[in-house]
Amino acid sequence: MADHTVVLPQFGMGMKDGEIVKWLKAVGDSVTEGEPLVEVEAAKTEVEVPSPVTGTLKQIVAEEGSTVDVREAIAIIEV
Amino acid sequence: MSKIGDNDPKLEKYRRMQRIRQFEAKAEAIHAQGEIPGALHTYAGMEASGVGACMALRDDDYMVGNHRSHGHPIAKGAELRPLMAELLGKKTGVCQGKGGSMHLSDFSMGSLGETSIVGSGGPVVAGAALGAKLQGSDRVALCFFGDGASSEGAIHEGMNLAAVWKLPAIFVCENNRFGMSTPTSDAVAGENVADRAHGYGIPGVIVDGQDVDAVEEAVREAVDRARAGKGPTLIETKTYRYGDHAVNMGRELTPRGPEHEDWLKRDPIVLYRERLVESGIDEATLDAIEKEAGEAVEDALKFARESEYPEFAEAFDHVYSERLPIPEDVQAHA
Amino acid sequence: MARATFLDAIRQAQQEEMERDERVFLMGEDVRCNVFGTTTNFVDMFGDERVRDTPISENGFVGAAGGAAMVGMRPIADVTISSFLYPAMDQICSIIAKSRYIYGGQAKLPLVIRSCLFYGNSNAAQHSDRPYSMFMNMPGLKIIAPSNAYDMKGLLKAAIRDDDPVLSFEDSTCWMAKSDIPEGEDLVIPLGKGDIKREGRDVTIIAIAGAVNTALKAAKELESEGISAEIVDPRTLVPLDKELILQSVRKTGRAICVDVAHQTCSAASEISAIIVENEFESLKGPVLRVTTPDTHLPFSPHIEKPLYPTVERIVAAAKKVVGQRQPA
Repeated sequence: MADHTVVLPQFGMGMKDGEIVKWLKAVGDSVTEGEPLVEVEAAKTEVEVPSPVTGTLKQIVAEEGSTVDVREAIAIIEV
Repeated sequence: MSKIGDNDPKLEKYRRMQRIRQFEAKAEAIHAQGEIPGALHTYAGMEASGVGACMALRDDDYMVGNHRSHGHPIAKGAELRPLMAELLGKKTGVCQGKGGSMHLSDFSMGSLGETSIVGSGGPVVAGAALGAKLQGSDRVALCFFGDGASSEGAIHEGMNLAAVWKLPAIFVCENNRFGMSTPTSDAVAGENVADRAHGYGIPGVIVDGQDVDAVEEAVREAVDRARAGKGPTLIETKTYRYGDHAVNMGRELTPRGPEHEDWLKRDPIVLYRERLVESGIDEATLDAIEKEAGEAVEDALKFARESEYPEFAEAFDHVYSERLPIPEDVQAHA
Repeated sequence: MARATFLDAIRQAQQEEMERDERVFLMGEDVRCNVFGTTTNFVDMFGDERVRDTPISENGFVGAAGGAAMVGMRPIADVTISSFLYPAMDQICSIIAKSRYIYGGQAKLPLVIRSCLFYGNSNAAQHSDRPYSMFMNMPGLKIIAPSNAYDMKGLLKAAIRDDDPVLSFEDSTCWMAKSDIPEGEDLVIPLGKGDIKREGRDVTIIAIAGAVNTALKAAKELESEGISAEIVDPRTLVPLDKELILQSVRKTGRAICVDVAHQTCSAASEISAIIVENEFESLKGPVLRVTTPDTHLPFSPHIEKPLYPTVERIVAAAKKVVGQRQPA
């Protein structure tokens, strides 16, 4: 078992940060790689961020409504 | 390190196209997870254009490319490790973390830059060709630019200079059908960029950009002409960009037309593989090359991940600045 | 009132001015596809004659905006990223800035050249410029550099109505920040009118564009340390609201200029010189600049981010200049 930190990816050149709109998974849910994890709104786009790994969502670091810089941690998945 | 089919140029072409495709597939995947900062403009679909052109060059010939910069260095034979490390912003990157995805330029392979200001490579290539000529060398300089860049004044100025001075230059317009979201037909007057060659009094050649052999042949002829002191050639490779302007943008900006499916069917790597098999090369050899390319990409990623980020002080390297050493207030809070 | 982002404020300003005046039209690379959200539905509303995608030829279409302005149009040229102004320098500096002068007032060039300041996001040196101070050195050009959505809207509308060429520098670090913007009101902020973004007593911090928001954060931190900072946002760099800056410095006796541009010949440098020339008697300490040092912007985020003015650097500068007269 190891923890994988999920970071906010950058969509497009202009994106500096994004707003966490909705978590599609709850803590304790199992996720598979590529499965939509969270909805994020950034400059002019709303995007579903896929899970980078398969595992169990251990912790949500960025709550809904918060704004996060790109490449900052948003969740931890136990793999 | 010896590779499968070393010294066989036919297999080398396949290897380089595979390396580009797999390098970028990996880069796109880890970019989607936030591992690569900045924007990522992929070359997928255009591999035959870059590889065909570079196979016609010598290692010591010069080359300038653009922001869609991953394909050109790999096409010219660059090592993957420093390229992947650059994408991750590491110190071991080919530009020591200064350039990133838009600037994968390996000067050890004759590159003089992959520049993200559209069209800005044209005059550089004219100048490199002039330098080679003045130095009495028989090196040539090749400029990769897009259909979008063909609208920039700098491209015209570079081509005119090269033509009027009969410089050993080759201008390769990689017409991938779109400048960001704008179809070429909305931005470029006339049917073909290559037609402009007539205005400069130089040969203008249109070539199937999905056919690596055809591109190589056209560029080889232009290179021979350039080395013989007969001046530049303008070559237009008709090709297609599979990805969006940049990947992982959240929404597709490229307005795909009905011809999209046809272009996908003419995948340059698939076409070339079919030709190789027809010529008697066994599938197992090609599979092994493909696998080897994948391993090289994994090895490059491992190397990149294990590499260090640059030290803050390195932000001040490679530029003359009156303000060295680093300003106290910046250093104190870095 | 409605909340709107900085990007949406740009859209509103352009839309309202295009509705109001049919001489206003928009052109630039990829404007129809609405990359950043400043031209939403514009083609439907105004047609593709007035919303024009251009070839990638900045010198061409920026120069053409100048030509169209000379014959009575009011173009908005969208140059996307301010680094792309460089290929257009020839037309901007030789034709657009100078034609009214050279021809003895016969020419009029009412156009707006928009571009964003695209720094801080690993786009490397060729995409990360903040070049407004270069254009401050070129007479004949007006320059706006707003720090919030409200100012962006009001200033852009004023710029479009102005009879001189105006460069609009739009800080991408402000893009998603929201302001209350009055609905159904013709919001126009005159060029050359600065704004006090926060009142204070001990030190004046004059900040440019996105640096205003960094300075506001620094002011909060300084407050907790007993230092009261006044934040002055010039909003337009040409014309510059000198009187507002000088008034504030007269009150506080101390000045720090915060600018994300490179330090040498920056807007901060010019403002510092103006303060020293005019308010030397009021000053209780040196005028400090907190800027981006004179190096290019690297791709690697770990070494890019610390180069820009940060809250920490502004706080340290304020302590330095205030502390000089009031040792703890």
